[in-house]
Amino acid sequence: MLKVNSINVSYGDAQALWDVTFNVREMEICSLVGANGAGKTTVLSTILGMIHPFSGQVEFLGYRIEEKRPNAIVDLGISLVPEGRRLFSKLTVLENLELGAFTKQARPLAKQTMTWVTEIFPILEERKRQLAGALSGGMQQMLAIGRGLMAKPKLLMLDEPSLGLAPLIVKMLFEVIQKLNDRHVTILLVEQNIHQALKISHSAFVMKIGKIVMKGKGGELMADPEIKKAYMGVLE
Amino acid sequence: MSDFLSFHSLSQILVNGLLFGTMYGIAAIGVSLIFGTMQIIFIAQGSMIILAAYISFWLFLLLFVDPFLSIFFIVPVFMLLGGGLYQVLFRKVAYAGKNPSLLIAFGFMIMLENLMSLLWTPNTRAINTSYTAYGIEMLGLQVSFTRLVAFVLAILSTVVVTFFLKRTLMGKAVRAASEDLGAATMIGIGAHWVNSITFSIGIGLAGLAGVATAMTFPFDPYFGFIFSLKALIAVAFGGIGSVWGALVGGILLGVIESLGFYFLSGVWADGISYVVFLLVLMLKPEGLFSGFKRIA
Amino acid sequence: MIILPMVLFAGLPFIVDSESSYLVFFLFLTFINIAIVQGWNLVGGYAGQISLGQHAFFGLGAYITAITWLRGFTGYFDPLAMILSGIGAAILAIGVGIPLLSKLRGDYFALGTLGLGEILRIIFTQGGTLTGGSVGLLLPSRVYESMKPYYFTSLGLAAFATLTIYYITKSRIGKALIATRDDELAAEVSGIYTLKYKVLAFSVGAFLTGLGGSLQAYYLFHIHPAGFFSLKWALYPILMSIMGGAGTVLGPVIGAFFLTGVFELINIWLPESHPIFSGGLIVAVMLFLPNGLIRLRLKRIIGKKEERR
Repeated sequence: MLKVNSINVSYGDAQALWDVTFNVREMEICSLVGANGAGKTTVLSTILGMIHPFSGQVEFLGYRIEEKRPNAIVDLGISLVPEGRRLFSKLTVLENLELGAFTKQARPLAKQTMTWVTEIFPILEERKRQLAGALSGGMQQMLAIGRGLMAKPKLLMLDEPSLGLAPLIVKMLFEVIQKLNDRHVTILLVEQNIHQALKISHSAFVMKIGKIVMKGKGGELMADPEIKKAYMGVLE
Repeated sequence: MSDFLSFHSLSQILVNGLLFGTMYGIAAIGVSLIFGTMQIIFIAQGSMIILAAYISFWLFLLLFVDPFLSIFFIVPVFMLLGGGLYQVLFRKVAYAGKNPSLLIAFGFMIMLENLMSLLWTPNTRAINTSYTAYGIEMLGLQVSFTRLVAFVLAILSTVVVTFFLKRTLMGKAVRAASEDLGAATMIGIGAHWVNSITFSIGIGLAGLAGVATAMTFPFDPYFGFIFSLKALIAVAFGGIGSVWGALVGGILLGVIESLGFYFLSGVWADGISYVVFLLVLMLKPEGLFSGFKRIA
Repeated sequence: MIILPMVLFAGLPFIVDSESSYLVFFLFLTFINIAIVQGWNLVGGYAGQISLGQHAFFGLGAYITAITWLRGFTGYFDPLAMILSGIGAAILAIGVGIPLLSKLRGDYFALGTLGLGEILRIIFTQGGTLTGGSVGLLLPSRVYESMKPYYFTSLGLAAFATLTIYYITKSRIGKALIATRDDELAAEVSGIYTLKYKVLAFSVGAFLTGLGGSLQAYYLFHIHPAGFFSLKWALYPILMSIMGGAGTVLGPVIGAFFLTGVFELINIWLPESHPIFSGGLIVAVMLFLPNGLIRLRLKRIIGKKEERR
């Protein structure tokens, strides 16, 4: 579904990604893991069109998207739940969700999508008139995912969803991600919590300082001694 | 200068200030919106208002269009103009820091006022309809009809803008973009699109304020600069990004000026506003009302 | 590279007749502009604080010179008067600058300076016999003897201004200013007391601008609020700095030469549209040439690719 081919990305004079190549297949959960600063967020930003690579291609459903702007890409069916949630704290839960369906193709279906989203996250329906800034961390994450879902994405990208959340909430979070996948949403997951991420992933890629250094099936990588050694401190 | 100040004359002064100040308020809303969303200080707002005043004036003089009716022409035209201005002047520099856009606005203002002066002479103009000198008596006070109308228009436009921001999807997008532009872009809200809309509202409001100005007092091409300054003062009072704050700030300014005119001689009164402005900037730049919870 | 033009400029009045030469007059104008421009360059180009109120200092400097002369404290072309003008402007800058610059938002400063200019204009229009009201003050023009002292003073002023900028930028102060401009928060956190440096830049800029106003007062012999507090004195330094290249030593000089020339031409051909043109020019420069002419040349010489936004 998504083909990232040899992208090289710089922020000004500082290069952040070197020849990054990987694929995401339809209906799968794919993880991009690695330590802080490895470039995972940059990859997501590039896919979404926030930055453009100075070489390489990104292909989604057969379309070349590396030069497109974010609103076109969201319209095509890619949605990002950003690191740190980035909710509109001065707007209500309902308004945040409404804005999630801003793009042309999502807007007419907004009502139905909203019903679907509140089915998955009933607590959002409860709190819909509350200001987003007043929610707890776990609920904010749910709202952020809900907002991302409002765009009716074919590919949902999540950037560090477990960051700052209590272990119990994290467990629930990964259950939700699994559930979404069961409902035919393809997921690209960026996580520092490697254990949980690999557990539910079909495929995974490991990044280190701007390059992809390892790839394989989720289960395989979990058992890999290299991974265990390098990221042991992160494993639960 | 000030002898015994009766309650009656005090109320009269306050009411005059209130009515006059709403015009500053309309100007201020535009400036506040534009600054709140894209960090651009559109210092040419006053000149745009004067442009609208001229158009209204010429429509009246040459085509006998009543100023009230000219609103229906001028506001939509100005809204389109606003979107266009954004695309031409500010699109490129909107995210290049505050300085380039301020300087562009400054340059544009100088260009516009002098162009108006060249085309239409620096002489002051005013619209004089049959009802211009009309006064109404309300609660024992003399109230100028046109200024009362301007007041009503100001309240109406504030309500409309607030409604837009709070209830329409586009308005929510504007609010979202002014809070976190990056996140808004990520969910597919085009930044330049939002900015164009905001700008067009701001300039549309300038059009409205222009007609109100033409109806209420004499103007000349260079008045725009002072108007802009007053609008900025009103925004400083009301806090940036707050629509009602801008209106209230304008009214407050009008009242201060009105009091100043009464107790001091004309020119010094003008100076008072600038001094208060400077003081606010130096001491409480978040606005005088920032302690209260803001809605939009 | 600098010596040659300096020698030429210094020698010029001895080659041509300074009273009737247009070139001398043109250079005189340009040199005053250079002084004012460098004043803005320091606070706007190096410290990154946009001042929209330099005209306040220009006018103040002019009035100080005029008033002290008329009251008998100073005389014609008296260095004391010029220094007092500069210092007066600097004091004003410090007084207003400290509260305005202590907030981290640059817009408040810009707006405040704009308001300052207007306040000063009103004050001087209302000043009664001290300032001559809106008619202004008339200085004894019969003491005018020749253009030469004007020319040399302005040359000296321009050189002084440029050298000041040069030495400041080479010093620690200059580094602190640039750090403040690029990322004020980071500079603060690194231990730079940004307020001190911003106010310093602002007041030195005011000093230079005040000197310019003083010289202009000596030249015109008639000081009035409309002319000396005119927005054009706020506008020109900004325009010339940016067009030439703000934040460099020689950029503003180039800008001053270029634009003084352009404005003189416009004045001759289309006097009324003069300000329309300058306004339009600012817009055009900011849209197409925000880094200034000087960087354009440097880039071509070094062959660097132009940065895309």
